[in-house]
Amino acid sequence: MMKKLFGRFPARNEISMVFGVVVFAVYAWSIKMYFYEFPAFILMYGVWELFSIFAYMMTFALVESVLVTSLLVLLGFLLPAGWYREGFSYKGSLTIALAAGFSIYLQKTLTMDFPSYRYLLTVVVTYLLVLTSMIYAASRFEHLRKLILFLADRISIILYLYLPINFISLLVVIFRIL
Amino acid sequence: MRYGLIHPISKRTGKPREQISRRDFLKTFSVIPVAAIGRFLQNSTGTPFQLPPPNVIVLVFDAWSANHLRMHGYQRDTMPNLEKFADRATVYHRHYSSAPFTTPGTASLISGLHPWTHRALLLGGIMRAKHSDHNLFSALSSTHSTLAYTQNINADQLIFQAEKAIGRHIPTESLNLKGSVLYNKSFFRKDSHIAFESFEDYIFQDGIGDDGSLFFGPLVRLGNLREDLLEQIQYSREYPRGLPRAEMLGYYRIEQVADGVIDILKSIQTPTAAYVYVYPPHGPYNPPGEFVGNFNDGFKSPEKPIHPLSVGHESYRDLLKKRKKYDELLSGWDAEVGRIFTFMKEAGLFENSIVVVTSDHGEMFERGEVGHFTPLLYDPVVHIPLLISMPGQTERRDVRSLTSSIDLVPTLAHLTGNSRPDWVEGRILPGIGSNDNLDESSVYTMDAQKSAVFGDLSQFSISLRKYNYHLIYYHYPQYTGFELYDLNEDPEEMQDLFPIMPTDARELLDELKQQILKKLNSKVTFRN
Repeated sequence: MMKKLFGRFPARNEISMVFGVVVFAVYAWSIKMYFYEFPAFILMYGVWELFSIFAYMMTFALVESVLVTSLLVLLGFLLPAGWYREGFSYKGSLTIALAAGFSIYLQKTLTMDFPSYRYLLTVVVTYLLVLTSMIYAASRFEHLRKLILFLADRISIILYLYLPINFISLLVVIFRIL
Repeated sequence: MRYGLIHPISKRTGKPREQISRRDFLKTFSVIPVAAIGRFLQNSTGTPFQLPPPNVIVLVFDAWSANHLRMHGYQRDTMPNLEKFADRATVYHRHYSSAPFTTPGTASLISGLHPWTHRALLLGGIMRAKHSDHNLFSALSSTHSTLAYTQNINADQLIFQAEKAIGRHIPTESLNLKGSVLYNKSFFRKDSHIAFESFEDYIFQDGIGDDGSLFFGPLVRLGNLREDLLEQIQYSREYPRGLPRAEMLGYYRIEQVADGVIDILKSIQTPTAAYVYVYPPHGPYNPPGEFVGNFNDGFKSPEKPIHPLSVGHESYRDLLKKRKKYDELLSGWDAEVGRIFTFMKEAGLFENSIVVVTSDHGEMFERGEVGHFTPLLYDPVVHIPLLISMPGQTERRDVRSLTSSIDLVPTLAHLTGNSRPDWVEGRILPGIGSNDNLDESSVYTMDAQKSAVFGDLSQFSISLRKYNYHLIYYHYPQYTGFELYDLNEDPEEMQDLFPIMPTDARELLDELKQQILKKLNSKVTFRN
């Protein structure tokens, strides 16, 4: 029973590849925003405070990455195998890449007023249509699928850089709040 | 105030007394001359109170300009309830904030330090670490239990910095409809400022700029905007212009803010030093419907040229419109202030408390600028109200000496029998302190929101109020120079006297130049 249950989860190497893509997207955006704020930060803070804010950012990015990846894994668990679990690495990578694009778009457009539901529905439907089309195309065209997997594989190498930094950041945050 | 001279229970019979015995009467009678002399000495020399010390209640209204009050010569009667309170208070007519916006203004108010000393110069910043214990709360903590609340998230950073000396720190979101912040949660309590800078100012922005969080940022923003929309719909009849909103804390109703203040005041136990800082009349200027259109009187403030350092570049017409809206919000807020004062009267707080009503900075509607986040230091943005009601005070006093927000800490320390803290740079206020004549004092205001807080300040504005003059110096790449105004002859600051430099103003110029070189930037070369 347990074996059957665990069998519904995507393969571990596929999960780690998708996690690498999530980490790349989340961390790249966070670091970009950190450097955007940096000129304002250095007016006020010394090196230790600057590093501490960076540590908070990295720690939060780790939490965000784990949660987003967990959500994708959950999707793989819940949806029929053919929809998401089979080919989880490229489907998950595509999901994240497109979600990152839409998320950036929303960040730019959502300011002080709640948008209409029609607008939000259009965004969600567009996202799902584009995602479905891309997944369909990747499943049909091997070259495209290989390209996605190649990029995801390259990107996941960054995990080796991010995770040690994150370990230090986590220690800094724990040290500060305890 | 009950002194316990007449006991409601008879010691002899153990039953409630219906009449005062001859012995009790004589005891009481013998104390009357002592009390009368004590009162006289206290009023005339400013001698600190004997035990028990009175409560200290400091009410701070954000972005509140003295220039919009009738008691200071404004045409519109914006705050009649405050004027009524003034009948039992000492009114300071020439009181100035140390800075034109929340962070440096509040830091000076609670520390008694000039902005160039505490260096909380940027929005959301805190004071230098060596001044962490230099605040109103530590100055009064040996005689009072302390309580602090601020509805401004930036001011709350300074309250957190002073938290060691604060007995009860009320969460900043308490008086808002649904606001929530992460930095003040118990998890981050020890590192609240860096948590604030990371979460509230970076990972989740308040709709301004991109969030540091790629996926959760827009989701949290959507959730907040939806809540905002529902609140706006719910209160759209009550607030036709929309609900007022506190930065990063969301919407609030001014009635709810007043109720919150009353609840806070209900909870204090004598002697308490309570610092209560609320957001109104800070923008957006959205009063309840009954106050919208209150001032359709055709009043026009003088038109002034747009300043080279103006950020807003608002047209004269828009400035007039926004001034009117601000005045409407003031009158709406005044109705609530009236409720707070009524409660205080009924609860006897005017009898056993020193009540201070003031602001952290003013607000301006001229020269292209609306609000206060500006390098400009003209009178409306730095001239703030200060009213102090002493326990049992029944008559109004008017003080026309120049005073500064940095004078509040030494004054309150003095009045409560505490020693004047050795760090403060302010003086004891005239009128209630020992020194009634401070006409010669120099009152400084400065802004350096674009400079690094370390070392020499690269860009700044500084003003000196002395005698009848207001001397301002701007030091920015796009505009550098002095301006001088005679506020007695020209209260609207229309005619710059600097080119003709009256002889008696030369002293101010020398003093300001010296202060700039000593405190702000030792390498400044003055062009004029």
